[in-house]
This record gives sequence, C-alpha cells and structure tokens, in this order.
Amino acid sequence: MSMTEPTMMAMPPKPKPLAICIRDLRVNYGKFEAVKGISLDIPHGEVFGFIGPNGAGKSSTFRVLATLQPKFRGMALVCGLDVLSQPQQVRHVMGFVPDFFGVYEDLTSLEYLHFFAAAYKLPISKRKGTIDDVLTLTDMTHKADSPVDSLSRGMKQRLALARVLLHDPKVLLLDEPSSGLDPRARIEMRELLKALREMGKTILISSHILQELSQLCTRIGIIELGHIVAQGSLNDIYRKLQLMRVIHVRVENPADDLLDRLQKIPGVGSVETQVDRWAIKLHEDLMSVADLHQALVEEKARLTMFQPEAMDMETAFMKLTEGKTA
Amino acid sequence: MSIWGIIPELPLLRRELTELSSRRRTYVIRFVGAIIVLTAVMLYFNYQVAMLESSGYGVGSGNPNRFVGVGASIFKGIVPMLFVSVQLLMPALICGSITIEKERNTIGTLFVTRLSPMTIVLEKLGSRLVPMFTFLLLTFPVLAVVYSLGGVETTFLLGTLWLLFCECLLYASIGLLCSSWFATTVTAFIWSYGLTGLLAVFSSLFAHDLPLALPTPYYLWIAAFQGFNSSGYGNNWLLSQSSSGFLHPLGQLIFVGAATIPSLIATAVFVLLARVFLVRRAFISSASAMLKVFKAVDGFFVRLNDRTTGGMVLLKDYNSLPLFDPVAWRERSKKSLGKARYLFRILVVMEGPTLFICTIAATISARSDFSGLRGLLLLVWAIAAMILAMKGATIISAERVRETLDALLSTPLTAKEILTQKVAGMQRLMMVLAIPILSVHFTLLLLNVDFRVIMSSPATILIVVWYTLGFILTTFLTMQILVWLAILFGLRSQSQSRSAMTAICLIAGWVIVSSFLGRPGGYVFEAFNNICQSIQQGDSSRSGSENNETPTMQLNQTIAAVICCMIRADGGIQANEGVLVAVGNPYVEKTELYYAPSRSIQSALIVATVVFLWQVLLLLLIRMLTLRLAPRLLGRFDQESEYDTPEVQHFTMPSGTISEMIA
Repeated sequence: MSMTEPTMMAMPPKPKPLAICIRDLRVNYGKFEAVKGISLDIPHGEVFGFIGPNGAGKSSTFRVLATLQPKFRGMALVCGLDVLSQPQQVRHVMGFVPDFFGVYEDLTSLEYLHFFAAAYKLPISKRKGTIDDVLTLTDMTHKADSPVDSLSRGMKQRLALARVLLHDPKVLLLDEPSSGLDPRARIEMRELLKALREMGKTILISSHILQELSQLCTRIGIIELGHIVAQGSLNDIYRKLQLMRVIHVRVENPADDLLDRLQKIPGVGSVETQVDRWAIKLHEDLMSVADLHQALVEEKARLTMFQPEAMDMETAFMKLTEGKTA
Repeated sequence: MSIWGIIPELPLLRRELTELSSRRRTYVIRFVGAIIVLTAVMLYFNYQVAMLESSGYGVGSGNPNRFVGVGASIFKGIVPMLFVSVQLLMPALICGSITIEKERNTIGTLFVTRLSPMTIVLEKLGSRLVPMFTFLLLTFPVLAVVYSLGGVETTFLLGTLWLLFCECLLYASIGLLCSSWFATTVTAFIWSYGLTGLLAVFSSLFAHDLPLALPTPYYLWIAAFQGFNSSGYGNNWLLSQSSSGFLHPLGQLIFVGAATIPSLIATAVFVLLARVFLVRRAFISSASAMLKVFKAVDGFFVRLNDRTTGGMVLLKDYNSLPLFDPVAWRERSKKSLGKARYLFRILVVMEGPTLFICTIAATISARSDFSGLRGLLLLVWAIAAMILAMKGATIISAERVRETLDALLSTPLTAKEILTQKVAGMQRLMMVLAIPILSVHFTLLLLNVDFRVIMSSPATILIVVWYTLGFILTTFLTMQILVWLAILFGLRSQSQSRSAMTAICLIAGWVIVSSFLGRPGGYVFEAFNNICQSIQQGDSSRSGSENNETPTMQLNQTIAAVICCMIRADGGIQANEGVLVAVGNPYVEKTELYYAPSRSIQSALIVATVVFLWQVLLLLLIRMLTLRLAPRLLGRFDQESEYDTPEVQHFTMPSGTISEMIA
C-alpha cells in the first residue's frame, strides 16, 4: 500500500453538484418583476414538475437556465456550471425545448436533425448513428424524409425532443411539451419522458396538465406571481395542506345505519352520498386506505367497489394558488 | 333622436385610432416628421425672402409692408414639399393596415363580425388618412403666415387643399390595394413604394402628351397654379384648359375639380379592388411567397430548357447535409435567395436587360457623359441595395417570427458564429447582384476610355487596371457595409416588416441625406474647401484662375472631395469614378462629374485610395459593433473566454420505441 492511500481514503468523496441549483433568482422586465426570488435544488436523475398559472414566472426561469435571459439577479447553476459566466459549457450539458415549436419549413426531419447536430458540433463520425438512434427512440424514422412543416404537432414535439437529445445532455428543460397535443400524442410524449427518466436524465418540466405531472414527476414546485408557494413530493404537499383522500365506495347494502357507522370511524372526515356511490373523505394521517377497507368489512359493508381517488393535484393547486396572474 | 345617433359607430376606425394614439412611436414620428417638414418649409421661406430682398423687392428694410403680396411665390415653393411628403409618407402609413391583420391571424375574426368587407376597407382607409391629415395640419400655421403676406388667391388656397386631399386619397388607395393583395407588410411596403414611384414618374413623363394619362393631383397643381406653359400639355385638354390662365379664378377652380375626376375614379377603382382582394386573399400563405414565384418562374425556364436544349442542366442543386456551418448551409441550400438555381434565374432576369441597355449605349452613344448608363447604374444599385437591406434586416427577425430562434440560441453556436454564417450564406446573392453592377461599370470603362491612348503608356494601363479592381472591390465593399448595417438595424426587431422597414428607411435616409450634403460643389464640399483655404490664409500660391489651379487649391479640393466621399454611402463608387473621369476620354463631358474637381489623376487616385481604406475601416467597425451588440440584442449572453468543449457522449438507447413502450 502506498503512503498516499490512507490519506486518499480519509478524504470525503467530493459531492456531485446538483443538476440544477437556483438561489434567489429574480427576473425583471422593465419595472415588472416576473420572478421574485426563487430557490430550487434539483439533484441528478430527478423529474421536477413546475406548475403555475400563465405569467407566474415559469418560462422566465426556464429561459434563465437555457442561457437565454441575459438580465437576472441571483444564482443559477446547471450541473455546477454558472449560466452567467459559463453559458457555452451550460449549452453543452443542457437541452431546451421551448413552449412553442417553430419550424424550418424548408427542411426535412433528417436535415433538421443534421442541422442541429452540426450546431451542437457533434463529431461527423458520430452524427449518423446518433441521429438514427434518436429517430428510433422518438419513433420518427418513418418520417425522416418528410418536411418538418408537414408533421403533426405531436410529431413536431417528438422531433424537438430528438433535437435536444442529439448532444446527450444531462439536463432537459421542457417548457410545456404536452401543450396542444391530442390524447394519443400526449400519451406518447409521457412514455418518451418516462424513457428519458430511465436513462437518468434530469428533467425540469412545466405543464398545465396536472394529472400528467403527478404520474411523471418525483417532485413538483408550484409557482405563483414569481414566488414558489410549495415544493416537494406530492405526498409532502398533501400532508402540508392536510388534504383528505377521497375514496369512492359502492356497497350492496347501503342502509342508513351503515352510513352513520361509517361516519363515526376515526379518520373518516365525511361521507357524501352520490347517485350510485359514497364518497368517503379520509384523513390519511389518521387512517390508511387499507385500514379503512378493513374497517368497512368489519362494519359488514358488502363492497362492490372500493376506489381510492388518485392524489388530487388540482385541489392542491387550487388551494395553494389564489388565481392571481401578472 | 340625438345627432350622435346618425353618425355611424365605426368600431374598426375607433380601434385603429385608439391603437395609434396609445403608441409612443406615433408621437415620436409625428414630432420628428413635423420638425423636418417645418424646418424645410422655414428654410425655404427664409431663402425666398432672401431672394426677394436681394432682387430689390420691397425696398426699405425698415418698412413692415415690404413683403406684402409676396406670399404667392413662397406658397408655390412650399406646397410641393407637402405633396412630396404625402407621396413619401402615405405608403408607409397604409401598407400595413390589412397585412397586419393577416400577420396576426385576426382577419378571420373581423370577417365574422357584422362589418362588411367594404366597411372594413373604408374604415382602414380612414384610419390611415386621419394621421396623414393631422400631419399636414401641422404645416398649416406656416401656410397661414404665407397667406397673410398676401398674393395667394382664395381659390388658389382652396384648390391646393382639395388637390392635397385628392393626393392623399390616391396614394392611400394604392397602398391599401397592396395591403389587401399581399400577405406580409414587407412586400406590401415595397410594392406600395414601387407603384407610387412608378405613378409619380409616369405621370410626370406622360401627363403632358397623352390624353388618357392619369394626371396625379400634384401635377394638376403644377399645371394649374405654378403656371406651366399650356402648350406643354399637348393633347391633355383638361390640363391645358386649367393652366391656360384665361379663366376666371372660380372657373379655374371648377376646372381643377373636374381634372381631379380621373384620379378620384382611379382611387375608387383601387378601393374596390382592395375590397375584392380583402376577401379573396385573406388567408393566403405568407410562408414562401418568393419561393412560389421562383417555382413558377422555374417551371417556365425548365419547360423552355426542355424545348431548346433537351433538358441540359448547367447548375444542379445537390441535396447535401450540413457538416460544419449549419446556418450558412441552410441559407445556401434551402433559402430561395440562396439556391444556385434560383439565383441563376435572378441573374438572367437582371443581367439580360442590363446587358441589352449597355450594348445599345455602346452602339448608339455619342460622345457624352453617358448619363443614361449612370441612371441604369443607379437603378441596378437601388434594386441590389433593397434586396440586400431587406434580406439582411430580416435575417434574425425571420427566425424570431417562425419561433426558431430560441432553439438556435440554446445551441453552443455563439451569436458571432450565427451572424457570420448568415452573412456567409448571402455571399452568392451578393455576387449575383454585383454582376449587373459590374457590367455597367465595365461598359462605362469601355465607353470612357480611348484604348489607343491608354495602351501607349504603362502608367495609364496601370491606372485602368486600378480602376477596374477599384470598382470590383468597392462594389463588394459597399454591399458588405449595407448588409451588416441592415443586420444591425434588424437585430432587435420582433417582426420582419418592422426590421425591413427600419433598415430600408435608415439606409435610404443615409443615402439621400449624404448624397445631398456631399454632392460635388455642395455644402460639405464648399465648407471644407473654405476651411482649408482659411487655414492656408496668407499663402500667395493659392490665388489662381479656374483653369490654372494651384497645388494648394488642388490639395484643398482633394481634402474636400475625400470628406464628401467619406460621408456618402456610395462614396467609394463615386471616388473610383473620379479616377475614370481623370483618365478617361478627352471628348467625354466632365463637368460636375464625381470627385475629380482638379482633373488631376493624382488627386483622383488619392481620393479613391483614402476613401477605399475608410470604407474598409467602416465595414470593420460596423461588423465589430454588430457582433459586439449581437448577444445582447439577440437576448442571450456569450462568454468571451475560451473554454474546453466537453466531448459529446453517445447516449445509451433504452430498449424499444415509444410505440412498443405504449403497447
């Protein structure tokens, strides 16, 4: 063993920088302050959902991280690189899909990707293989020779994703990638993002489709009027807000006394009678969903349906935001 | 029922005027425009008063009534400026009136309201006439002062106001027609000015002789009130009657009114056509209007080629892929003004007529100053400058409008790389546009130079070679300056129309103002000549006659010529032409031609060299300024220092495609 080995072993491992680190970010457009001191820490491999009404400051934050906002205050790092002093390096590790997809009407999909491969300065020897791969991944191979202008909106968004994958960035900034897509295209986009998550990409994504983000994101941040009003995992946010989980129940014997007994179970907030079911609001911190099922069985309820509602992000969003826009 | 109920609501007109009044630009333009027009009017007023004083009119400087009755002559000098202002401003004001609705995709919304197409057209017309009238109103205080001096008949004043009104209507209707026909404001802007210019030129050329020529209100005014000789109007009976001077003033006014009927009919026809095209061409694609034109022309040439040569192709467009300079590649391979095939068409269209005129000039030209060829040179330069300014100015705003700029800016390409590649992609276009210009220069060289004399001396051969190199270099240099200036002016703009109009207006302004100030024997020339003379006061050698110039006088004139050429946009070309004049054919008329005032080849060469170096410096400065400002104007930041480019890794493909994952 050499003399240096013990010393090396004693040294703590150098912490890997966060994928995205924002501290007290402020963006002004003239006198209007669009972003008012946002701070975010997003570790590698995370899918962070950015939610907020129009004009809340989401796109401004994206533009800062994409090195397209020259004037801002605070600190913004991408993979430990300062966007202000090292913008060129940041562009190599980041891929940005803006909230609109402009087309080079005169290019085919293949030419479009070759154009950006040259813009990202990919080695010529690697270009063909990489472009073939991203076309395969995004299922666009059959459209390689089609003019970009003729593609559907969903295909254009997939092509935009293929474009940002060309230089294999560690961080993807996706500003409302599902906006305006039909259900099928939205599902395709979601699956594509899941595949990217599995590839270890860090994704910062904004969307208005809250249900979609809840299925995809490991953490979310809710932004309003330039402030982050809440951030964390969905469960954290629900806990913080003391939101009750709604469970839809249908029983064969819906007698009045059964309803009274259910309302008295500890943890049950209320039971609402609907046309063909009961909607039980449950305090999850007092009673788990599985315990409620057990309690119902013990109360001799003959269950034909027991359906816990997915975490209701819309409720959380409405509760956290006041509907104010800039 | 109140009187307000009778007045139609005119919602579109109200909206347009509200929008106009809420823009800061409206007031800035009005203020600057008013300052320019009022200054010009006041200068002319002073000039006229000075002329009258010097001619002994109104003797007795203390007499307050000495200028009574001189208003008419001042009025006749001022009013043409108002007509010219209408011709210059009206197309710019109205060309975007309908195209802007097409560009914003709001024209469909207008159609589904209860407004009829005719109402839309008329309210749009009204919304642009109001600012024009407001602008003209600003000059009325000056007209009132002139009227108060006496000598201006009331019929004269009323006739002028009526003709100004008709002038506004006529040019507004032309602009409106262009706006309803074209999809973008830029094309409507260019065609509005093109048609306005054509109408102004043709009416001045043919109004005298053709009975059916359209007399524009301006030429009616000249005919009726400025006292043209009636015999000059040949077959045009109305004009000859209105200008005959035999009629009673009221009768003259009636004749003027009658003479405006053709222009009013023309206005009505243009407005009706605008109404027709408003609906028919409401949803035309703006994406590739030029490409469509080229494709149509291309089809014609292909068929012609098939018939004549059996389909032989000299220039083929290869479908290559970008390797190193993607932006330049796209400009060259994918843009209508970059493809070799289309550029060759442009070359044929421009070079064919140019060569024809040059050949005619060479064949039938007598010994003269070849002013016709110089006019042709001006025309091909105007076309080239307009195309280059438009292309340069919209080079970034086109990306902005198509929402492709952000994707491009988020790549590692620096702003400098993007712009230099864009300009590199324009080099072919510049070469094509330069060929007709160089053809005219070459013809001028052949016509001006007596080669038997030239070949007798190696020095003169060298000078001819110098001139030839000079016109080639200055042509490309001037083009580069124009392109970089246009890029600079258009960098920040959010819309193509605004960037193109800004660049074209500023460059045209520079060309016109600098040509006026820096013309041979003009203000700047004389001012610098006088300054140099005053510095050298006491030097006895400067006294000399016109034909016997002293070295000091030659030096003074050379310095003045250098300064004039330096401020002029076309200074390099002018200075180079001075060499041709100095070395050229002794039979060629040389009076007031370019900057060879001393007729000395040495001074002409010095002027050409200094101005060439100045233009190189100017180009470098403009280029450097543009590249320096580019990141900020494009809305991003680039780092100055070098950095290590991280090696791009080939990412690991997940198993399967999206379809398989969903399945």
